[in-house]
Amino acid sequence: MGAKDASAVRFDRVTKRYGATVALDECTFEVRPGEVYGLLGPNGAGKTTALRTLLGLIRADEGSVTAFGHDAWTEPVELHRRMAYVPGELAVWPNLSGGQILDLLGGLAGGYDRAYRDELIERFNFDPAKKGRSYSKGNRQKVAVIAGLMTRAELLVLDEPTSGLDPLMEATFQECLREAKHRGQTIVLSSHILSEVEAVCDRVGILRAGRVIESGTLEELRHLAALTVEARFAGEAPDVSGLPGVEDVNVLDHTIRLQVRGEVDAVVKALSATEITYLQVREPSLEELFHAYYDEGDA
Amino acid sequence: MARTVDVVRDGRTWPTLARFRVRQLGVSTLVWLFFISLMGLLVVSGWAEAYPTEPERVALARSVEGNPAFEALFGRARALETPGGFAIWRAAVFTSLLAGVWGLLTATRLTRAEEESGLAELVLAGAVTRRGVLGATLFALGCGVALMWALPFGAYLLSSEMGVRDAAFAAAPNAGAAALFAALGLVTAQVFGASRKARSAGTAVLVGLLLVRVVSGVEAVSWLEWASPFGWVNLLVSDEGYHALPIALFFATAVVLAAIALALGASRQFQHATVAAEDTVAGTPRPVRTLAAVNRRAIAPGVASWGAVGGGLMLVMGLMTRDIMNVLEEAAGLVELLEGTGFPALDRPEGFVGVAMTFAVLITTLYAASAVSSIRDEEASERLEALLVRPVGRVRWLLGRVVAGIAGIVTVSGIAPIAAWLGTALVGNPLDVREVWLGGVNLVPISLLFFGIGVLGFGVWPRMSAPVAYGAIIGSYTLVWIAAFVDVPEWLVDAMPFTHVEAVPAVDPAWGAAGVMLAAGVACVALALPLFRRRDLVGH
Ligand SMILES: Nc1ncnc2c1ncn2[C@@H]1O[C@H](COP(=O)(O)OP(=O)(O)O)[C@@H](O)[C@H]1O
Ligand SMILES: [Mg+2]
Repeated sequence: MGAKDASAVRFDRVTKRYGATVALDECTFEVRPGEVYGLLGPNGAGKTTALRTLLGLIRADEGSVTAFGHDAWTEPVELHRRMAYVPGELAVWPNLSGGQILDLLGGLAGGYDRAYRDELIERFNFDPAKKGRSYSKGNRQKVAVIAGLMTRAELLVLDEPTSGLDPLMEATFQECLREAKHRGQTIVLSSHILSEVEAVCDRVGILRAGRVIESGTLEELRHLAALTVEARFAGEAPDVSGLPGVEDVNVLDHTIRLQVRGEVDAVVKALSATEITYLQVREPSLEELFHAYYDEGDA
Repeated sequence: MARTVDVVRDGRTWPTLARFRVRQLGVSTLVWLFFISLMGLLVVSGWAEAYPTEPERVALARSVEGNPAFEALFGRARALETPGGFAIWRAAVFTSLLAGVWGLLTATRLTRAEEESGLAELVLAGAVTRRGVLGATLFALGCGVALMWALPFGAYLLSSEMGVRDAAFAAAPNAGAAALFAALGLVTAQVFGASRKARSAGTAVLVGLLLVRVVSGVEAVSWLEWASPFGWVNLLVSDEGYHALPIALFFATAVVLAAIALALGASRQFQHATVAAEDTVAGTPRPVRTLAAVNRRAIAPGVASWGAVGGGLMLVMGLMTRDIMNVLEEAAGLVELLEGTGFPALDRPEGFVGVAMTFAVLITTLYAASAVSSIRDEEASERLEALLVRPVGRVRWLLGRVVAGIAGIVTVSGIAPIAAWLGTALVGNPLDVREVWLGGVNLVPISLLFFGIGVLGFGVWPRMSAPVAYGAIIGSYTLVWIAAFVDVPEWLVDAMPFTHVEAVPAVDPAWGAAGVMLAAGVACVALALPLFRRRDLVGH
């Protein structure tokens, strides 16, 4: 089964509606074994809905969600033995201690690595003796992250995992993710924080109003977007606005700013016909990329 | 660090899940169990002490059996001269109600409430099926139900009045009602998206079934006894001996309901429901701008549901007055026998309504406890923080909630007499409005006292405020109840607020005691305000 389907996770035209709200709209993406996949989108984009569908907590109205070839809704046990989930909003049992909660969640997962749990407790500087009711949001998040990691599951599914963690713990968390990746674990994480995705993800899907509007490696996504070119000339700036792929041309005195998509050869040649005193060519940051996609949609 | 991926974690999850669920039954279940068992024991040993000989027991049985006024209140009495018969009529009728409430509350707490708070998300993310999670919950509830039989059984045996067979049958309705209403709670928890609605719906069914049993006291519809689980309790025993059919009915109904819950739950998505929790406001929402408006919204659901329970009970009682009086008129001997029972003028409509009002007081005081628990909820859920970080003083906030609570108590206390009057008017012999109204007034001071005690508990020991309020009511009510059978020191009985609630309108209110209770309630609140101002806010 798993051999035939080479992907670890596959969303195929998944639609999920809540009354009039369309939370997922023919959402399609695929995560390959061993990669770290980031689902990027602002609040309300459908990230939590997508991950809950993957866990089989809710059922897609249309389309199919599979992991390792198992259907997410009908085969939760087979699937959950191979995956671990860190929910975005974690409630904990107020009268169980952190240690008891971890033990319970590990037992429900079908087993866990006790030594690794202890190591994680140490690294996250977590106090397992306290009761659930006394944990702050950050501490609750640590419970979820430790519980997720300690099972060393094949697939880790994390919903905005660093919300509530301080920068130090965030760094520890990213380190753990990299280790997990080295071990060969597949990771799907959602986030609205670009730097987090940029730091750990191999591939990214941009989720907008329930649709994955772009998917690829960071490199690929950057190539799809325009380069920013800024140049200053000794004399008059040349006119390049007619060239293919060039847009947003701004000329101010001897300085020109423009965006260029696709082939850059023609532009570079046109610019260099005049004497250049300063030149900067910059790839877009993920941030700009993101805004580009979102602004486009709003227009 | 060279650890590999754990490809298959094949540990069995069922034992973990089952153990966890049983653990979740919690200390509260033990408290219910202790209480139910103790009550059975005290009722039977008290009865044996007060009526040691056979002729005395037969005389007692004669005075009660066939008396419609009594039977409306406690259910039809059968084989009352035997320890089993007496235990069923006087203890099991009440303890099975408690066991039913336990089942309803526990079942909804382990299912819908856990889902609503998001806890269930973690459980369902484990290597478990939806059916498996519900199955483990059923298993834990089953353990609770077994204890609801075993512990009262042991307690009855301790009384040394009862044989194994007597004790086994007298304890059975506790387990039967616990199972039936737990299963009902599982169904309402699947159907309703909000746990409060699931609880209310279950409670409405429970109260409705109780009223069906009350109405079955009317001769013409006595078959209704078979239509209510609370009637089955009384049908367990007759002069021919014990009957197993009612027990079978309890458990058969429970099994059917549990099967429905499993079917609904196994195919249901996380946090979904047949009747979804509303997540948008219909139409143009009315603005909630003032603290008073917030408080009004906070008390409205409680007032509505407790008001409906009290109103429903008193309406039925009012409707029944005519039939009961007709029977009593024909059987003059019964009236004479009533003299010694401590129930005044039970042969007149205002007497019957008055005695019924002494049951309604349990409803208004329990409403008061629920008002305390909703005050505590506001703090536990951290909604209070959002209010207090704004220019709202702590004392002002608590005072606002106290005023809202008092308004709720007055409303619920007012609904009961209106309903009673309506009932008597509908059957064509209305009571005097002013007299019935006084019956409602009579409910207020004691309810305010328990409200004050609960608020004081909130000021001192926030996590315990609901248990303090409910515990004070149930504890003192039970003490008065068992004082009828057991030698309890007189000063202790006198110290219990319920001792001083007269059967108004048959008797005048005890104005002096009412004044004391009112003053004590106010004093508790006055003490609570500065204590609350000085303590930390405490979450769950
Ligand atoms: N249980 C629900 N009932 C109604 N609407 C929901 C529910 N869950 C999510 N939604 C809606 O679906 C959309 C996507 O939500 P969500 O997946 O939580 O977004 P994200 O996690 O990206 O912030 C939102 O518009 C949200 O309001
Ligand atoms: Mg989310």
